[in-house]
Amino acid sequence: MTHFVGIDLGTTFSALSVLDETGRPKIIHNKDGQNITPSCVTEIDGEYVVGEEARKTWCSDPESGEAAARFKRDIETDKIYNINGKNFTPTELSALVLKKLAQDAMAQIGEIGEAVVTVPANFGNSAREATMSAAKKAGLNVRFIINEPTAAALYYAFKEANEMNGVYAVYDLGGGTFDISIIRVSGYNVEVMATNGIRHLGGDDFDRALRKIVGKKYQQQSGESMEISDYDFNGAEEDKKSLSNRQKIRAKVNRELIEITRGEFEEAISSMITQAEMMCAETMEEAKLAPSDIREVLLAGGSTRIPMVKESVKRVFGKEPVFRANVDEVVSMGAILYAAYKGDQSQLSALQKQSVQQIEFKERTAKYYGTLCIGSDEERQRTVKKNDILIKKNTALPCSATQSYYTIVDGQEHILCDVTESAIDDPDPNYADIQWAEEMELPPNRPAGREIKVTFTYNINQIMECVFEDVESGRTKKASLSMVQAKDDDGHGIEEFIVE
Amino acid sequence: MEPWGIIIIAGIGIWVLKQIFNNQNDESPAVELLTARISERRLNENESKSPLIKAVEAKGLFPHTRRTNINFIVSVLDGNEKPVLCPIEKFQESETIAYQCTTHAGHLEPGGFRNWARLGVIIPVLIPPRGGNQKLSAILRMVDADNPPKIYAGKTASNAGILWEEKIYFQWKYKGKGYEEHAEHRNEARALSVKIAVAVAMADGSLDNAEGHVIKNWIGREISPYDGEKRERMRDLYNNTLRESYSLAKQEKLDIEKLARRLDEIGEKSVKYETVELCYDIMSADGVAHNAEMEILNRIGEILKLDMQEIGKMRDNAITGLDTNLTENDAQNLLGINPAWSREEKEKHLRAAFKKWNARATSLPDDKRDNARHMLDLIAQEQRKINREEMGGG
Repeated sequence: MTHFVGIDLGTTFSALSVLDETGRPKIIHNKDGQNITPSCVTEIDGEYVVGEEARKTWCSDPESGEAAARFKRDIETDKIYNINGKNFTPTELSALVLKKLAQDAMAQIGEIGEAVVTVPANFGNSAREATMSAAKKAGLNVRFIINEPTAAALYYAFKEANEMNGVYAVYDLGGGTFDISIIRVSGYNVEVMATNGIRHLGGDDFDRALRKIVGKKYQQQSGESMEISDYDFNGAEEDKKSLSNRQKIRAKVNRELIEITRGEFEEAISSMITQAEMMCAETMEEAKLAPSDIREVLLAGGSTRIPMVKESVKRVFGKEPVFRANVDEVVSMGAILYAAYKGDQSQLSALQKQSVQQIEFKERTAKYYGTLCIGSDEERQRTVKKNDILIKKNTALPCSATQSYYTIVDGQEHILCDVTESAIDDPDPNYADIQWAEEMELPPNRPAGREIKVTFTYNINQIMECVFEDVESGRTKKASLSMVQAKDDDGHGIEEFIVE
Repeated sequence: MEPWGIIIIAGIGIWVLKQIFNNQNDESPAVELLTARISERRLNENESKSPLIKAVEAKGLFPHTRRTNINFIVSVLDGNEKPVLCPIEKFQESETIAYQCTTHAGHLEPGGFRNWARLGVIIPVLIPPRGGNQKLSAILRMVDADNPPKIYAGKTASNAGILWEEKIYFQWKYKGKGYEEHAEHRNEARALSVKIAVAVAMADGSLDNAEGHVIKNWIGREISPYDGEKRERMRDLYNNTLRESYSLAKQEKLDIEKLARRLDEIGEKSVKYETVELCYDIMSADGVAHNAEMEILNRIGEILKLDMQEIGKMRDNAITGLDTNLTENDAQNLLGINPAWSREEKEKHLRAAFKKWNARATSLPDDKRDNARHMLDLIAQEQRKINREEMGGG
C-alpha cells in the first residue's frame, strides 16, 4: 500500500504529513525527531545534507558558500547557488529538500504514492512549474499543488468541522512569504473567496531587521562594524524568538552585550507588518467584505507567534487571532487532505476514505488571465499594447470566457497568440507574465478586420484550455496550461547528490 | 472596447490579390490602364460596428512587363501639397511621422486587377496642416520593392523605383487646429518643452551627459518630419533654446512653474504629455530618482492638468528602470501623493500603488524586482505615517 503525502515546502522550514488510519492528518517527524525540517542544504564529507546541520552552517555565514538556504525565494529564476564549489539552481536545491523529507517519511511509513506540494498564494505559473519540477526531480508523483493559506484553511475546516460556519480569514506569515485567504466554511464545505500574498515578507526578513539594529547599536557602543561571525543568523533568530516572550533582550556580539527592546524590534519590522495589513485590507475588499464579516482569523506560519503580528491582526480585523493548531504544521496537514481529496481514493482505507469524502472544496482562480492585443490610447492619441483580461481573479471554477479580436492589416498572415497571467486587473503589459505564446498562420489575401475568437476554459483541476480561432478559416491554435505540469530540464540528476 | 481591438501583429503577410489576372494567359484582357479610387469602408466589412476607414483601391493593367517585387504605398497630402501626419507609428514613414500605409504585394507577373482591389487604407487618425473641412489627396504609388524610391514627407525627389502613381482626392474634416496653424504656438510650446526639460535635468545643479543626450535625441526626433529650410529653422530654434535655457538654469533664473503655466496655456495635450515623458526620461537617464526632480515632475503634471493616472504610469515605468537606492527620496513625491489630499484620498492612492508594486514584485525581470520591493516598503512607511497622524502621533 502506498501513502499520500502533503508537503509544505517552506522558505525556511518544510514539513510532511500523511493520513493516519482514521483519515486524520498526521505530521511525520524527520530522522532527527523534528516535526519541521530546515530548508537548508550543505555538503559534509562529499554528501549533500539537508536539515539542521545545514541550517547551522548557513546561519553562521550565509555568504561562505558552504551551505544554501532561502532558495525558494528565487525558485523560478536563473540564480545559481554555490555549495563548496558546486553550482545548484533553486529548483535543484528544493528537490534535495523534498527528497530528504520523502526519504525520512519512507523510512517510517513505507512507499509514497501521490504527493501534494504547497506554494505561496502569489507564486506565478513559472514558480509553480519550478516547484513541480523540483518535486519531479525528487522522484515524487505530484499531480496537484495547493496555495499555502488554502491548505491551512482546509485543515482548520476539517479539524473544526462541527464548529466552523461562516467567513474566516487565514493569516499565514511564514519564514519567507506572507499570504492571506478569505474562506467561507460550512461544516466540511470550504470555499476560497479571495487569496493574496507578498512574496518577500517573513521571518527571515525579521531576522535581518534585527541584525541591522544590533549592528547599528554595536557600532555605536564599540566603534567597530559588526561582522557575520560576531552575530550570526542563529543568534538573530534565537533573539527574535526571545523578544516574543520578553520586553528586552541582550544580544551578545563579541564581548559586548547589546540591549534591544521589543519596541525597537517592532519599529524595525513595522513597515513589513504594515504591508501585511494593507494586503489584508485589499483582500477583504476583493471579497467585498468588511472586518465585521470575518468570524475568526486563523493563523499559520511560525512568524505569527510574534506579539506585534497578533496586535496587527487585531487592529485589521477587530478581533484576536485564533491559535487552535500548531502553526508550523497546519499547511502541510492541509496539503495531505487535499492530496487525498483530489487523488485516487482507491488507495485509501475505508476509514480514510470515509473521512476524506466528507470534504467539499470549491476553488477560484488565483490570478487574472488574458491576452495581448493592440488598442488605442484616446487620451494620448496613439496605439498601445494592452493586456486584455478574459478571466478575472477569484472567479469560481470551472469557468470560461470568449472574446473577439480583429486583424489590423490587409494581408495579415500571422498573429501572435499569447496567454498572460497577472496579479492585478491592469491593461499595462508590464504587470503581465506571458505564460504561453505561439504564432498562428492566417490565410493570405484577406483584408483587415478578420475575426479572431479567443476562448479560455479553466477547469476544476487547475488546467486552462486556450483556443485562438480564426473564425473565417476555422484555423485554431490551442494551448493547455496546467499549474501542475512539471517541466523537464537538464540540471543535475538528484541521485548524484543523495548518499544516504 | 476601443475601436482598434486587434490581436497583436506578429508579421504583416503578403496581400497577393485574388483579383490579379495574368495578362499573357488571360483570354479577355482588361484594356483600361491602372486607375485608383477611394471608397468608404469598414475595417471589417462584415461588422457594422467595425471602425470606418477609407480604402484606397485600384483596377486595370499593371505598368510593368516582367515579374517584379511590388509594394503599394499610400501617402496623404493637403491641398497645398503639405504632408498630413499620423500619430500612429504603424502608419508613419520610417523617418518622419507623415502618413504612410505600405502593402507588400510580393512578386507580381505582368497582368492587372479585373476588379477594384484594396491596396491600402487611410485610417481616421490624420493631422493635416490646417483644420476644418478640406480636400486632401492620397497618392497611391506602385513601387519596385527591390529598388524602392525615397519617400519623404509624402513626396519623392525622383521617379526612380516608381512604376506607377495616381493621386486621388477626398474630403476630410479635422475638428482641431492643423499643425501649421499651431505652428506659431507650437514653436513656442516646443521651446517650452526644451526649457522645462533643461530645468528638470539641472534640478541637481548640473546637466549630466546622459541627460543631455536624452534632450538631444528628443530634438532629433522632433525635427525629423521637416526638411529644407523649415528643418533648419526648427533645429536652430531648439538649439538656441537649449543654449539659452542652460545658461538661465545655471544662473537659477529658469522659473519652471512659469514655463509650465505658459505651456498649459498654449500647448496641445500631446505636447504636454511628450514634455512630461521627456522629463521622466531625463530623470531616469542618470539612474537616480532625485527628490528635487520628482517634486518638479509632479508639479509640472499638476500645472499641465494632465490625467494623473497617465502621469502615474510614466512615473512607475521610470522608477522601475532605476537601479539605485530610492530611500533618499521623499516618498510622497516618488509615489505621486499630493500633500493636500484628505486621509481617505491618500489611503486610496497608497492601496492602489501597493497593489501595482506587489504585482510588479513578481512580474518584473529579476534584476528589477528589488526596486518593486523597495517601493512596497516606501508605500508601507507612508501608510504608517497616516496611521500615526490618525492616532494623533508625530
